[in-house]
Amino acid sequence: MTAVEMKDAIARTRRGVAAGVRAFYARPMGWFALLVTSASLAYAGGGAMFWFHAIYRGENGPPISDVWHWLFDSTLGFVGLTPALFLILPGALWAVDRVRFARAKTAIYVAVVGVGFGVVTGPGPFLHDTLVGRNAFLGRLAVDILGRDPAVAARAVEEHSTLSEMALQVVVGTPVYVATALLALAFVRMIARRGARG
Amino acid sequence: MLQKLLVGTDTSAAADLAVEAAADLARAHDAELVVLYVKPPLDAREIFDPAKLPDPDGYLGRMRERFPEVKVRTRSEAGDAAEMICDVAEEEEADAIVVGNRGTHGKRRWFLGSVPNAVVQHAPCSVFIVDTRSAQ
Repeated sequence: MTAVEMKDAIARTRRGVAAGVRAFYARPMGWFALLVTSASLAYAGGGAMFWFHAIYRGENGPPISDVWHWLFDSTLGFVGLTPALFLILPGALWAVDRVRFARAKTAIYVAVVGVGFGVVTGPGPFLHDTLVGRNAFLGRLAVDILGRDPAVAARAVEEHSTLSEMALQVVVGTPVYVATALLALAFVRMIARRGARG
Repeated sequence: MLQKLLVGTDTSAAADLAVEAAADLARAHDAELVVLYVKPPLDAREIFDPAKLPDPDGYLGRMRERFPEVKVRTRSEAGDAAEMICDVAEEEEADAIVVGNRGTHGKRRWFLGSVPNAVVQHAPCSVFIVDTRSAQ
């Protein structure tokens, strides 16, 4: 392939991706699905992963109450990862479009969304420790604003390598996010059906 | 002299007004009418609301029955609507393209771009824009 052909192929791919994303969000249903999926993954899926990292594994985090910690982390995840989901959802639909069997479409969709989201959250533990860890700026700010929880502060912090935390985030997070994506899809479909009846 | 007309549709009520106008035009000029359905690259309804997906085969299959006095042919393609309409018009050597004006105004144009505007810019022949606002 010559450089000109390569440039042409890249330009065609870029146009195709842009057209696909525009077509996905051409209907309000696409935006609604983005909102529901992002909120579900960040708050429900994020809740499960918060329990895994902060409570089960005792990883580093600000000494604030668990509920505030979950809300704080999930809100950061919701804001930071919605742009990634903006592209993952049309990508999942693109994959669905290539499947002939109707029954496989749901499985393909939730698998692509869950795996895609699991992969993009991979650097999450590193970013969490850097930005909102016990001694990080946002961590200290969270304690100042939300108050110190003595029970959490007394909890022993277990040291883990960042790499192992990131690997576990992907390995444990992916099935959690696949299940959460399925719940979000069921909710969007239920609302769509109610809309059709109303 | 119009001998062949091409009309683009997504099977919506608005696009159907353009199909009816195209059939009237074809009848008046004794021209052949090619009705083209273009499947969008991605349609969120496919996974979230399959019951609302269009039925292009059923829609196109009814064309001869609806316009018995017009010589009608149907085609179904996938891709970007405006690009496909212009490509098919060139391939079919159509004398005119008929499209509805959906998307020429409002937020839909701002976000999606407008199919009729893009067709007007790239068409290889004359373009007839039908006012379909009553069905939008």
